[in-house]
Amino acid sequence: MKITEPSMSPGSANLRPQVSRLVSLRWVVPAISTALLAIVVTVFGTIAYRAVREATLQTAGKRVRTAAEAFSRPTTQVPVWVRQSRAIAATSHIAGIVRSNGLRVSDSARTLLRGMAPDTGQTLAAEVRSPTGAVLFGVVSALADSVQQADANSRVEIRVARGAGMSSSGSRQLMDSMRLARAYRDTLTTSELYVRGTHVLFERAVPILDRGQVVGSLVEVRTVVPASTTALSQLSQLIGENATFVVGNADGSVWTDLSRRIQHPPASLDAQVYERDGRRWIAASAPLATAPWVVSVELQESQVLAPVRALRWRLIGIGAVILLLAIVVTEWLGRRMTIPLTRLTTAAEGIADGDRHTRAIVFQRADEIGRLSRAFAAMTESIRASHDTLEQRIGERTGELRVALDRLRDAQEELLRKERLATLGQLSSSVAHELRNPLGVMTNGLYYLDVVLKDAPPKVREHLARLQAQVRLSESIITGLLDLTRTTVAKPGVVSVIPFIDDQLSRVGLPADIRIERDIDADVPDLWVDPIQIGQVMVNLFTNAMQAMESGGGTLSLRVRPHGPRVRIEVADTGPGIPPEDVSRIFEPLFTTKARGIGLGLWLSRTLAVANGGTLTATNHNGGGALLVLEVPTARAMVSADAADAEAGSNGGPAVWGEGERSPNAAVEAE
Amino acid sequence: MEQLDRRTIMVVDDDRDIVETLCDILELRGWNTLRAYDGDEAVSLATQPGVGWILMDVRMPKRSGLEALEAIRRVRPDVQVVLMTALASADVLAGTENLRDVALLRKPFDLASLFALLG
Repeated sequence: MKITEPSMSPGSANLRPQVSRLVSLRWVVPAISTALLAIVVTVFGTIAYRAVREATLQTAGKRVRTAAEAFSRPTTQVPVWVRQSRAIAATSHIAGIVRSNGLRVSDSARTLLRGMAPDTGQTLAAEVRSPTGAVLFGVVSALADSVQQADANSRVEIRVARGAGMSSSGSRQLMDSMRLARAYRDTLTTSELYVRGTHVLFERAVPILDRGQVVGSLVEVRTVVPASTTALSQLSQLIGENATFVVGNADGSVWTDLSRRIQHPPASLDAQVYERDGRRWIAASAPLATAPWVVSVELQESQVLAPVRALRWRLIGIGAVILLLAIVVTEWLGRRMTIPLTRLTTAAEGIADGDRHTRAIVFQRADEIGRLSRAFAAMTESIRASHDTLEQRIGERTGELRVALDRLRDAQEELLRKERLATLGQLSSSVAHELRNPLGVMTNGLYYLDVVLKDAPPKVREHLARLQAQVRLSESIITGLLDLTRTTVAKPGVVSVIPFIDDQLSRVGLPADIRIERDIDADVPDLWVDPIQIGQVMVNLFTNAMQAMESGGGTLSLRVRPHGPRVRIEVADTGPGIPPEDVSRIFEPLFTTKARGIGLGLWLSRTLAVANGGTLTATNHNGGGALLVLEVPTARAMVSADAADAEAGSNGGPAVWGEGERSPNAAVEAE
Repeated sequence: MEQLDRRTIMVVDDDRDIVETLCDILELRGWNTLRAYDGDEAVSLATQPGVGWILMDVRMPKRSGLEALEAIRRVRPDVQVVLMTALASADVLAGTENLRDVALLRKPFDLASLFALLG
């Protein structure tokens, strides 16, 4: 069965904070400012519009009220019709009708009455009424006929006796239906409006006087329609254009716009708005002084508000233009701000990403963006400078670290080498110790055999000699090994150069094919060295030279010269020389180029030379072979140094070479 | 009184081969030899008559050469002593008060130097 682990996706930690979506100031600034401006424009436009509308409506209301009040003002002038009607009522003809109770009507009376009710006027009838309101005599006009036709649907039956002077039953019946059954007082009277069919009628009356007594009324039954155009134009002059004139009873029962009956709210002196015929009207009403009527002057609201509406559209247009301008200007401003900011941001991101070639952008502007760009450029420069400094410092530190590391490695290698050497020393010391006795036994045995077998065959003698040589070699190797572990404290003394060198040469025993070239100054001073140690060094140098020339022989050159406070001993051979790559390592312990040998000879030689206050160096000479140079102090130099010490007031004790190198362990040597 | 035979030598070493070869060589050269293989033996043999020389190793089990020498000196103050020792030890021993009249032979030594010492 296979179990599949759910794949775990490692949570990727993004260091740079992520903005879900960039909203550019380039769009935010125009949007906000345009929205604000739109609100401001709308609010102010609305306020202005409302104020103007209110003011206009108030003005219109005042106008209609003023006009209405003007109608209500009592006038001292007696109207024409009153004068004319009074004149007629005052004639004897009319009075005659009253006296005869309507039975006798003179022609003159007929003519007068017909003149009051012409066919082309608004008067339907002219009547003479008794004080009780009974009609004594009347004349109807052609208008009554048209009214009857217009009111075909009404139940009023009108028979017109056109031009007839007599009141027929028909006309009486007609007038009964048409008139307001009313008696009028002695004063001039205008009746309330009343409706017959579709017509709005009213009556006006003057008293009929007989010898100063009121005996009846001369009544005109009139219709409010149709109003003559002249009358309307006069009215409009009075109340202004666009205004309409509406009349109604004081109790509000009947209203007419002078052409027909209308519906109208109750009269109000204050301007009010109401709806009629699908339009809104501003109206103000006032009672008439000369009739029991109310006059209402009205203005159509839409006409009043027409200029206000025009203003509104103009406001909207201006607002739109302002908003458009705002969008364009703020977008331009936003771009002016955001484009440099975007470029600066790109540069900053470049620097943040480690792009050191990003160039700082400087905008030569007097505003904050210019300042920002200059600050940014300065910062970039500073970052670059500190970066450079940092890199340089890192470079320096790295170099120092490398040097320190090299030193450390060298020290470590040195330590390792010393440790190796110490181990080797211990090992070789114990090996040498252990081999000492067997070699001694072998030496002794060989000696015994050599003595006993004096007369043995040559072959036996030859083998004995070879064995003796090999044992001697083994002994010298062991002695060398033991030397390594011995203390290097020098015990110097005065050594005479020439016999000392001869001694060492004889110890080596150079083969015949190697020639020795000696160049030793006769007056070379005595040495101040440990003869055993420096003797060992000389033997090593000679042995090395000899081994370098093992195949085919050569010349060993020996040159000795005083060299300042020292003597310089040069040993040169004609061998192959030291390979250049080995010159620096040739004095290292355990370094060897020979097939046989453990690589301690030159190292030990140098150690001994140094322990005796000298030096040992190796090069190749012009002839191609190796040149080893040993310098050791002279006895003369030592004496003068002693004298100098004594003069300097030191303790004056004998100077011992290598005294400073004596370690506590060196004194107690393991056996 | 017994007479000291100047030509009698006792060779002391814990290494028997050393003792045998040295004794054989010395006998070849006309010496009488006595062989001892540790300090105790050396001390007991030293009282035997005629021992004029003692060739002794310093480093030995039971009783070291120096201890044996001290004991021998008590009974034979006149005996000639050659101590064989390692190079380093020889350096340390040289100049020690008790060994003023003792010859030191550094190991390994060649027989010539031994013969020279013995005269």
